[in-house]
Amino acid sequence: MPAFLTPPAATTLARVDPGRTDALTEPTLDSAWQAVTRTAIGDELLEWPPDLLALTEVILERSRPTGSPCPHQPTCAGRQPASHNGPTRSPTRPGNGAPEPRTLT
Amino acid sequence: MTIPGLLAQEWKALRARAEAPLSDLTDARDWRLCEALLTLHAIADEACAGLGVALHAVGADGVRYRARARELLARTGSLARIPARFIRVLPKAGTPASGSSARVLSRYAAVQVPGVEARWHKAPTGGLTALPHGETVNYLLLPWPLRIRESDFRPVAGPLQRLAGDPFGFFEFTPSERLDLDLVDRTLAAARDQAGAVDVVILPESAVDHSEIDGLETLLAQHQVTALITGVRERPARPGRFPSNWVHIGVSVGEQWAHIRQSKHHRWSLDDAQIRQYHLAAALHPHIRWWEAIEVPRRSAQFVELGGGITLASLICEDLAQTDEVAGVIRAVGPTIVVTPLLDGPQLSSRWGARYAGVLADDPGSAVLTLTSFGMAQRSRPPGQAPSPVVALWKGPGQHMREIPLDRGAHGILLSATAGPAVRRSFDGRRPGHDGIEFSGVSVQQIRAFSTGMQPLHAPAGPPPRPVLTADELTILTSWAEAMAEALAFAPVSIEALAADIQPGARWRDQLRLREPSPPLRHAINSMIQIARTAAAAGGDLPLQKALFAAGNSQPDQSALDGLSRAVLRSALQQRQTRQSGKTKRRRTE
Repeated sequence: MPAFLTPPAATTLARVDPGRTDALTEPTLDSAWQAVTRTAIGDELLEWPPDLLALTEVILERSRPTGSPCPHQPTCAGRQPASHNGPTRSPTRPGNGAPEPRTLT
Repeated sequence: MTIPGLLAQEWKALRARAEAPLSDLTDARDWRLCEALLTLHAIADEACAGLGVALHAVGADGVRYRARARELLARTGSLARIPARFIRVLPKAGTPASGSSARVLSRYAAVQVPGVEARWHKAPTGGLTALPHGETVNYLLLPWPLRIRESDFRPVAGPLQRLAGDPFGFFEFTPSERLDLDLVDRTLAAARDQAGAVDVVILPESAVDHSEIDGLETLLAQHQVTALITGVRERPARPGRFPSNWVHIGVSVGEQWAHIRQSKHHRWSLDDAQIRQYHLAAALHPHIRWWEAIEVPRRSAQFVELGGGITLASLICEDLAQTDEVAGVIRAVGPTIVVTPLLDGPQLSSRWGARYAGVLADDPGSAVLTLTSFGMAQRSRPPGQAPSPVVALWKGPGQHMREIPLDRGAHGILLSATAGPAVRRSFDGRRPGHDGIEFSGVSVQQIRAFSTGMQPLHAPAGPPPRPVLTADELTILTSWAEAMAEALAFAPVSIEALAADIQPGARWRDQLRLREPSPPLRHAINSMIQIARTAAAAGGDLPLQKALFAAGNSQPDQSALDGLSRAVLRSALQQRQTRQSGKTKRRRTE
């Protein structure tokens, strides 16, 4: 089994039932998928790998807490900041903070 | 359909929990669900391998699946059957070395919610297609115009707008000098003399007028240049509209050029400080904010597979700095190189362009090349600073920022970039894959134009032949050519099944809701099938070589379409052969 599938030791013990009322009002896997594609989760998604990838990624994205999706990955240290912050010549050219006019063309 | 055991088991676990709240996942309350979801995600992602650039071979069924998926991608801009207006799945060209967003969990395909149109093009490029690992791509950078006058900037007629005491107007950039084709010719001759071949010619933002593209491509074809990337300015088609500002990506295929257009999405805003920096105060009043007068079309991102595993995207000037939906798609796909033509000051590592190039080089790990005109770099003279000759900047993944000047007396710069294997990562515990490509290093030479070129002086350049297929159709033709090359190399018996798949009326197109090939595309496909079929039927050990030989023999009086078809097949066969020989060599040395 790949390392990422190893359950945290305390998963079962730490489980907390949010209660029926909360569960009914929360988005579910199916409703999250329907919100994006207007179709229910069905077996036809298995016929075409990109469709299955879309389903799993939508659910992953919508269920993801803020922060790293892979807290146990040692290499997942986050992008390094851009390294050039030295003296500038017109460093802020794009837009310069001004809102771009939209209705004048 | 037989479903593999693990897939069936994990799918059953997920389906049983379809009504479970998402917080079961967020809070890891249902570990079995987490396990099923991540396993299904990894399986689906692995099954998307090779739907874009395919460095590794698959069996007969895999070849057909890839070809169908690529036709779907060319037609709809998505690999998924779900309408692209809801969700879009694109191939991934590269992955970052590190990262913390959900997208780093996949390495072969990226999922995007709508907001931006994306198109995927395959260009069967001659020189680049046979690019083995460790070879170089020669880019000739022409940082032109070499001189820009103050009068090249002018206000666009019409009343100035006053917005809460903050007046603004619109300006346009219309250089007085036309593109000097004779100088292009002589510079190319010098560059080829120095490097042997020039693969790609690049010019800055707005360097070329729309009407000059045909003549330029005709000239480049004479020099056997594979691709052109240039900023283009185009006068409005009707009064009351603004001009257009876009990047033209032209790819030479057979006797014709395929054209791809990446529009600019954000206007340049010139304020007091910049008007003084570029010494434009006599043309544009410094107390007014001047916006670039360009049409801003619907946002779209164009990706071009240039062969040799290299995928290219282009962002124009300001667009490099925007964190909008286009930037999101570029980051998700991770093209091998992002070319950014600019109308900007010197490309110093301390300026804004370098910062954003650094961001893309870190994540998703694309090489970024920025190029401005020497004329504009020279106009940029902030108080107390001398003009800088640095017209370009290169930032590759894991490499130092490289400023590239145009030396005195030089007309162009030859930038040779070495493409090499790269690791594809997914941060979900899968082992890294070794089927990526990245630019690992560059070298730079100054080019001084020869006194004579290839063309007689002032020779009228005839119009290039009209494209016989659209860009999407060329992508489809290339996809099927790749499938045939793969089949000839590994499963010649599957050629007939492939031939049946390609034919009009094939059921899978109905199932994927794809329209039938147009008559020209059908003709081009059939002529390709004929060559592959003959090579496969001849038997023996080397059908790939037989097909390559047959595709290389042009027929007397062959039509432009047949010529194109042969060129596309030849390119795919050469690419496959190069990969095969590369693999054999690596095996021998291991």
